[in-house]
Amino acid sequence: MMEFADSSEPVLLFAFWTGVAASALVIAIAVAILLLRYRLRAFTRRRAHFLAQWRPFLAVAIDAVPAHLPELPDEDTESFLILWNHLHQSLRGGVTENLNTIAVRLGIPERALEALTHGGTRERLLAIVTLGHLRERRAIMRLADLTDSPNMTLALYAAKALTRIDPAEAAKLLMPRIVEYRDWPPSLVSGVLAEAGPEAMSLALARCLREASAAELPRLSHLLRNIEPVVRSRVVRELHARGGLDTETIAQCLQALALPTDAELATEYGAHPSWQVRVHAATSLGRIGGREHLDVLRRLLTDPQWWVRYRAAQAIVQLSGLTGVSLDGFRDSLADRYARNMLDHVVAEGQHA
Amino acid sequence: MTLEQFVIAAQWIFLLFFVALNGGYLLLNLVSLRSLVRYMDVRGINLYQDMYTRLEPPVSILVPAYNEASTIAASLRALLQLNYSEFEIIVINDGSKDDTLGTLLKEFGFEPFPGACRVSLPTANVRGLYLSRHYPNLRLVDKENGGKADALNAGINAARYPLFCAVDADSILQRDSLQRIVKPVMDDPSVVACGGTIRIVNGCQVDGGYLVKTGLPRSLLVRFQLIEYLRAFLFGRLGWAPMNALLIISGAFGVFRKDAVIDVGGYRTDTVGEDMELIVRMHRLRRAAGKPCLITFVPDPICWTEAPESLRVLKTQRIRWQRGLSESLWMNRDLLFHKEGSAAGWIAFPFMLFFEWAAPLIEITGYVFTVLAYLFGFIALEVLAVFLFVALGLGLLLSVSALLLEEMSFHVYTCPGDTLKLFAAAVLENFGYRQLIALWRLRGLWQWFRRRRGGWGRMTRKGHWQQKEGG
Amino acid sequence: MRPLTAPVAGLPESVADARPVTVLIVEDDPDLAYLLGRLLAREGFATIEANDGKRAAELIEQTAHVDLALLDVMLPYRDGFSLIDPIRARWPDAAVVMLTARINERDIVKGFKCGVDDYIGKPFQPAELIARVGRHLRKRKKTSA
Repeated sequence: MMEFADSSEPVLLFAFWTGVAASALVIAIAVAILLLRYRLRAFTRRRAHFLAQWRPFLAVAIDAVPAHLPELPDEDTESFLILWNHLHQSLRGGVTENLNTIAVRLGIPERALEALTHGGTRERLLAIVTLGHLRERRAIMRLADLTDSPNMTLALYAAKALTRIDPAEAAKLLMPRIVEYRDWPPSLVSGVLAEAGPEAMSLALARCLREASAAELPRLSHLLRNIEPVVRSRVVRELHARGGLDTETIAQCLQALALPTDAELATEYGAHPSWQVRVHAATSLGRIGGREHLDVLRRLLTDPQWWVRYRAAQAIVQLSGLTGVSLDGFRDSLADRYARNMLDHVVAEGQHA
Repeated sequence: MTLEQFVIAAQWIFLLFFVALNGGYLLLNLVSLRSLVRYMDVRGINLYQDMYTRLEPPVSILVPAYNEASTIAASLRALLQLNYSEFEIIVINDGSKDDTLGTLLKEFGFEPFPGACRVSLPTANVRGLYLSRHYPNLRLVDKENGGKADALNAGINAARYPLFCAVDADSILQRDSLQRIVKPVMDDPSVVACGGTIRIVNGCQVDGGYLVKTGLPRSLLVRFQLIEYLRAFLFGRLGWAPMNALLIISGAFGVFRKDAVIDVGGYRTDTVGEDMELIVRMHRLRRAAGKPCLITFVPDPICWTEAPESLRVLKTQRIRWQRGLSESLWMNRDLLFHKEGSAAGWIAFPFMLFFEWAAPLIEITGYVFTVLAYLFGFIALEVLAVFLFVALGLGLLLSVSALLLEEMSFHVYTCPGDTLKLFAAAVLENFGYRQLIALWRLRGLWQWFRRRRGGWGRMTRKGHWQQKEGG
Repeated sequence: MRPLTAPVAGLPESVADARPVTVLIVEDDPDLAYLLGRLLAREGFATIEANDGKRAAELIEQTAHVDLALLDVMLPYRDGFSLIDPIRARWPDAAVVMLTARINERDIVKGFKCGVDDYIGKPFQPAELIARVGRHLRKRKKTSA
């Protein structure tokens, strides 16, 4: 029999050495897995040991900080910070001051500041949140730098920490960045600003929105909710007067309306060509409208778009509760079958809740 | 060309294909390694609550159900326990022949509801809408049978929120699963879909619809599947995500932007791979229209499903998967090398085409050729041995690299002997299991090819309830 | 369980020689569960703990007497609301206080409909929690005395 391929053929050599390389890598990886497993067990054991000591200690210490604190070795810093921040998040009042006292006496602020500059992402994130809870002013500069980080997570947590430490300073620092950094999701930004409360942020945000260009408004209008209601109403009216707003901005404005005196604005948008706007107009009227707006809502109840009819029906139910207008009477006055159906649907939903 | 040259050329071709196939997956694992390390770096320091808890967008969970009478109540109760601020659950009874509807009505106090429903997608006839008396965020859509895709479309019609989450009725989630899968959408509102990894629940302890304790499956067949999942499905997908070239999100658990899905026409009811087909179509249509198509993935083990324990069911599954893959790629072939296709059209699609779709054909041909050549004396025994050595070595390398990634990340199997058992399974897998799977996939390819020639028009609409096939 | 060894401010004298005031704590967060246990024990209450809905249901069946149940809403296996009926059935005089991060309108209304006596939102003030728990226990003692 002819044997065409013998062991000196290049294809065979290639195959053989590929096989050898693969096998060597397999063995190397197997060893790596074993090492990782070993390391994991050591880590788990250490963490359990830490919790067994510190969880009981902190539970007592937050009431009355004892004179003597146990040692906190460097390797346990992370475990401590996770537990400490979790308690900080779950509790409020005087105990958080005690938590801070304990942290200061253990040298945590220094460790955290160090991690801010020299740590990896994980250490930095923990440090950022810790320094925010500690209200550590020494961190302000470094945190401000971090808000420019291309890592959005780092930047936003740093922003939040800044808001906790010094709301006024944060307002000043964050506004230009909020405008410039398009990858910062509006909902998370809103969450960060909410930390400071509307008083600190309102004026800065109002100015920011007034100066915003048409391209930036759709994104920035999400922040209307972080402005205090009276200032908010003023800003919305100014934007409205500007005219030529896109649907997203109008939708946000409508959602932001909070004062009954602004209900007129909502009725104006009830006839807007875009259904997304009409939906929000209906919802707003339910929130801030009065008896005089039932006619507008009746019209919206016959809108060709399902969602507009749905929200209009909900608004009518809400208002009837407030104004005492009889729902049955209203229903009977509806000529359109779909309008009646929708009202029934919404009433049934309400009864189930 | 002489016979000798032909044989050698053929050997080169098969060898290079094999190296490329395994090399390609290895490369994907390498890419996913980087993503994984960064992901794991910030996971587990427990900072979600600080930023995200009050900002979670509301989600409509869609649960299509067909003949699930014995398990649907437990599944829904588990879903109601999800740790999430605002969500609704819409269970769609797709014309079940058993007592699914009766069970639901009884267990949850569903009452008919003068439902005004917005029909954005055409579906089979909806017989009724119900609202649960006990749980105001639980609704039921009762409709005529139309298949899983059709049921999902009906669910989309009934969904109230801008995001929906498609969940299989027998998927087992964790209480933070919804939080985890929605987080990428919170981080970037332009994300249109996000998938989760599916893990195998066989051998694990489940209680109250939730996973209590992980455990290695006892059956060797299921262990092979586990290795396969880790090797190809798990980390491979994580490799595609940074390039935004993810072409599949499992139907067992995935979150989507409702308007983006309605925009492309909802799920297709004429394919068995409706989950993959939707994603590929979103890439195709959105990119062609110049819209961004961000589709991403979370590597956490947040969804567990049962893997087939018998060869018969496994065979049906794999044949169907290959058909689904073929249909998804064929129906969206415009994406291939499309000028706006980006990494999805220029890297992922060809990869799928060559290394997933055509692979079984080339693999089987390679095996057959090599064995025949040996039997006919064209190649020496040592040649055969070396080829098998390479095949084994590369296959094992890929499996072990997946085990390494698993060890670096979630290490769900914590018993000390488990890693050794998995390693053993990774070795044994190469002696029969992989070849068998390749054979079945080839059959799936063949079935698809024949049906395509047979014409779509003659395909009657049946309930495509994959998990029910084979019992 | 540590029995009462000294009179606790605010509670009627007769309690001192009666059975200890017992609080059931159902909370799945281990850090908080431990903290609550210590806080209440420091006030002199006996505490029994469960970390999930299933264990809580078992405890409800096994324990003879509980004066107040402090429940988290989000629990593994069954949520806090589903435990209210068994608690009322077993100890009709017990007060039920829900401790939860999710304070939304729907949950609050649902809770009061189910017979919840009080809500404490997370994050909470330990001093306030103790004060509320104390108040409910005093009310209970007054009505049963």
